[in-house]
Formats: sequence, structure tokens, C-alpha cells
Amino acid sequence: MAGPAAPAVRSPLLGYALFAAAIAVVWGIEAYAIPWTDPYFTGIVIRIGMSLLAVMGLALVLGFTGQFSLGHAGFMAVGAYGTAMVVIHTGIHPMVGVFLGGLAAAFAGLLVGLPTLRLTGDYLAVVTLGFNGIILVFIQNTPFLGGAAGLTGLPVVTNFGWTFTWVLLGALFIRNLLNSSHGRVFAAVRDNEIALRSLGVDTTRAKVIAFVVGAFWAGVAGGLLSLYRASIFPSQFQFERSIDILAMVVLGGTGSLSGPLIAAAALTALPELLRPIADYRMIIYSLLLIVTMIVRPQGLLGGKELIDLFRRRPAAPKASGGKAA
Amino acid sequence: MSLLELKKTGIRFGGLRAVCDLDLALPQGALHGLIGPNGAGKTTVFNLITGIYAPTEGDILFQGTSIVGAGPTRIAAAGIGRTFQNIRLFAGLSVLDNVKVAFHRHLHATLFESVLRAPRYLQDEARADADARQLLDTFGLLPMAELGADSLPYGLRRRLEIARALATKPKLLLLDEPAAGMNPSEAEELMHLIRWVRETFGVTILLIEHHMAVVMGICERITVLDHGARIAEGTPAEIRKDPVVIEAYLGADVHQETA
Ligand SMILES: Nc1ncnc2c1ncn2[C@@H]1O[C@H](COP(=O)(O)OP(=O)(O)OP(=O)(O)O)[C@@H](O)[C@H]1O
Ligand SMILES: [Mg+2]
Repeated sequence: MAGPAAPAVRSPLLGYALFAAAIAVVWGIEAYAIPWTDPYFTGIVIRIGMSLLAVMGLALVLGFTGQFSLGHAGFMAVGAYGTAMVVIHTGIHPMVGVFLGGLAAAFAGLLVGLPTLRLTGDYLAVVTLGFNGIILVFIQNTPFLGGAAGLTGLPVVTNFGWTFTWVLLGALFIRNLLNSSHGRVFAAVRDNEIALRSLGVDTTRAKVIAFVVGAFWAGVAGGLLSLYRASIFPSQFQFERSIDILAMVVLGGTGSLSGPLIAAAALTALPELLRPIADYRMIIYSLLLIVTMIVRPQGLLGGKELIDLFRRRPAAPKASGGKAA
Repeated sequence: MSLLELKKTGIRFGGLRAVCDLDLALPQGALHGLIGPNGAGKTTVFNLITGIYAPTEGDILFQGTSIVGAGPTRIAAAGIGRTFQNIRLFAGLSVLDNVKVAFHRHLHATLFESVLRAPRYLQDEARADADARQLLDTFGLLPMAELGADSLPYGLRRRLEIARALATKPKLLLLDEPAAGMNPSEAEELMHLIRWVRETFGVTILLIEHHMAVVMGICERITVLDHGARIAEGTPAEIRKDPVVIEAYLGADVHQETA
């Protein structure tokens, strides 16, 4: 039985209006609620926002397109140092600096992705892992970038309002991309590359697009981080951070955007709220991953979105739905 | 001029000559069969034509120009569509989206127009949606448009794969054992479908099939492969009588089977 066919294309006006309203709410909270909120708590919320940005990019690359990238923190580092350089050396608005930092990360993504994504198999995992390491070694040995001691004296601009403005922009960007012809192609890359090529679709190009977009939003997360506590250090972008982000995507569910975002919020907040166990973070993540793989290999919301859970009829798979990678 | 021409085409996998010295010419509008025992090299011929493998010997011409080395994406874009012996649908996509993906190459909106839901994106989507639904309708698949492709019964999956290949508007369609796993009445229905596809879409068809009733029933000419080499080519009547083919492949019971 066919359900009533959903309209093929909806007018984007309602979406734009909702988006504008959400931005207004964010800045309303910034103006009227944040001043009365415990700065410690606000700090956790801002940190969650940065995790959301980093995770949504990897959800696109790994969760929807099925490409195993292990160096997401490397792109955050490019965004963070790119932003810092722009802000230190020019008089430009710091948020323009964050955008440029994102572009720098996207460019790094292009350089890493172009040669690697032609190949199928585990090359991407190995190369991105190496990229993460090389970026850190480069920063540590470049006095201009502050070396291992880090960069200090950066302006503090990242607040709740800016962070969640970027989060909303990123979520809208990635959601709309996934619900377009590109999103269908990403899911098809994950399901069957050979069949997709037989339809005349350039799969390398599709993978590079997903990868570069993912790197851009990781770069934005890094840029916001650099303007958060007046300083950045290479140690903030180590391989462990890449694994954190990976864990959030896998736990949240491949083929889902809301699942990884929920996991990102939970896994960023938990260590803060449970200070005593913070030292065991890696062990807890590892255990969580193992248990998930056994009990619920598709992750929290694998192939679904949060909103699907509130629909009475099971949602038909859409471009963004589907099996685990 | 032939639409497709293989000239002394061959490929080696290590010591194995999976296809050797193969000559094949398909005129525009042909419905040509490719048969032979298991492991004869039939699927490998498709993989050579579609660029999944590059031939180690010989040449392949499509519309008079060599497509050797062009790669699967460009060869598909040039007008060669195919289905796969082991069905390759996009399991995570709906039936409708499986077909819509095939229109991706023809859409005009840029990445940013898509993200911003610009008018050009909306036009693209509306057109892809209408075209895909129309195609599904002609294949009797419209009632299942919103279902997951992996929830279709086997026979309909084969149909969907043919519909998806046709969405790229190919000039040449390669079908790899479309009747595999079908019972005689389903195979009979498929035969009519293939004929109908050729007439409706004006495609030239190269068909691999083990169901002799299907191949003999609809193909004008048939090429027989054994151990990678062509052992016979001719009309179904000629092939059925050919002692070499009977020896290598058809066996004695062919008349019974095609009766
Ligand atoms: N990638 C490959 N590497 C090595 N050998 C291969 C490869 N692809 C095919 N072969 C070999 O080439 C020969 C022909 O295989 P092919 O799949 O073309 O046969 P077929 O005629 O399609 O058989 P079937 O009727 O069983 O589908 C087989 O011996 C097979 O093992
Ligand atoms: Mg075969």
C-alpha cells in the first residue's frame, strides 16, 4: 500500500522563518538568560555547541557517506589556528575569522581528500590518522603558531549566542544538503559505489564534497574554540579528540544527524557533570562503544531522526535514512 | 556503423584468460544474447564494456569511438546502462530515490543553491520527482515508491534495477541474468518486459541469460562463450542446432526446454 505521497518539494519559506525565529531565540537567551546563569554551566553549554559542530561534519562523512575518517580533530586544529592567525594579524571581525578558519579547514580537506577518496578501502582512515598527527607536529615546530606552548592573548569572543548561531547554520546546511539530490548520492555511495558509477555519477566527487563540507564545520568548531579561552594549544587537537568525535557519531547512529548530536551533547556534558570519572573518559568511551556494537550496532538512532520517533506511521526511508555504514 | 563493437577484446587475471579475442558487433536497435556455461566470462564482458575492468588486449568502440580507459562513470554518462547479476540496489534508499539518484547527473542546481533551497533547486527536484514517478509508473512500481528498496520482493527488485538503469537514458542497456531465480511464468513476463523496454525506450540490448526459453524467445542473434572465447554466433535457430554449442553448453535436452 502506498501512503499519501509527500509533496516533492516544499516551499522553503516556512523553513527560513523557523530558522530566523531560532536565531532570535538564541540571541534572546544570550541577552536575557546568560547574564543570570552560572558561568560554569554556560561554559558546558558552549562546549556542547562546539562538539555539535564537529560531530555534524563527521556524521555527514562517516554516518551518511560511509567514509571512515579518523582525523577530524586535525581539521579543528586547522580551523582554530587559521582563525587565530586571521584575528591576530588583521582587524577583521572575529566571526569572519571563524568563517575563514572554516574555509582553511575545508581547503585542507580538499588536499587530503582528493588523492585519497579516489581509492576505496581503508586508505582514508590511514591517511586522515596521519594527517591529524602531521598537523600537530607542524604546529608544535612552528614558532609563528606558538609551537608546543600554544598561542595566547587571543580575544575572547565565543559566547552562547555566536556558538549557537553557528550550530544552527551548520545544522541547517547539513540537513538541507542531506535532503537534496546530493544527500541521495551520499547514501548511494555508502550503499553501493559500483552501482552508483553505473548511473554516471562521479562517486569520487561526491565523497570529496561530503569530506570538504565535514572539514569546514570541524574548522568552524576549532575557530570558536580558539576564541573561547584566549588561548589554544596543540594538545587540544590530539588523536583522542578525533576518537571522541568518532565515538559520538557511532554511538548516536550512522545515517542519522540528530542521533550523533544527542550523543555529542551527552558525551560532552557527562564528563563535566561527573568530574570524578573524567580521568577514565577513554575507558568509558571504549566500553560504551563496545557495548553499543554488541547491543545496538546501528547506534542510538541508526538510520532515523529524532522526529521519526514521534510519527505514528513508521517513516519510509528517505535519502538520509538507511543502514549502518 | 555498429553502436557497440568489441575488437579482439581480452583480459587476463593473472594466468587466467577470462575473456580472449572476442569480436562482437551490435547494430543500433539490436537485441543480442550472450550465453555460455558458468564461468565462461559473460559478466566479465559486461565489466569490460562498462569500464570496471580495462581490457588487456583489443579495443572497445561505442558509437565509433574507443571507450577503453574511460572509467565506469564516463562510460555510463556516454550512454551505456546496466544491471548486475547480483542485484545492486541502494538498500538504504526508497524505491523512488533509487531512481532519482540516476537523474543526479542532469540536475543544474549548485551545492549552495541546493542548501539554500533556491528556485533552481526546487525546479530540479520537482522535475526529478515527476520523471522518476512516471518511470516507476510505467514499470508498475509506483505503488511501492515510498517503500525501502530492500523491502521489495525479488522479482520487483530486478524490475527496479532495470527502471533505474533506464533513468540514465542509455542508448545501450546491458542486462546480466535478469531472469535468474524466476519461475517460468515470471520469466515469461520478463521476456515481454524486455521486448517492451526495447520498443518504448528505443534502446539496444545485450542480454546475458541462462533461461534458454527467454534468450531463444526474444534475441535476434546470440553469441556463445566458453572459457572466455566465442564458440558460436548466429540466430537462435542456428545456435540451437550448432553441435559445438550443444556439446559445450546446451546439452541434449535443449529442445525440451525451449519447446
Ligand atoms: N576480478 C577477477 N579476478 C580474478 N578472476 C576473475 C575476476 N572476475 C572474474 N574472474 C574469473 O573469470 C572467469 C569468468 O567469470 P565471469 O563472472 O565472467 O563468468 P560468467 O560467465 O558470468 O559466469 P556465471 O554464469 O556463473 O555468471 C571465472 O573463472 C572467474 O573466476
Ligand atoms: Mg556472470
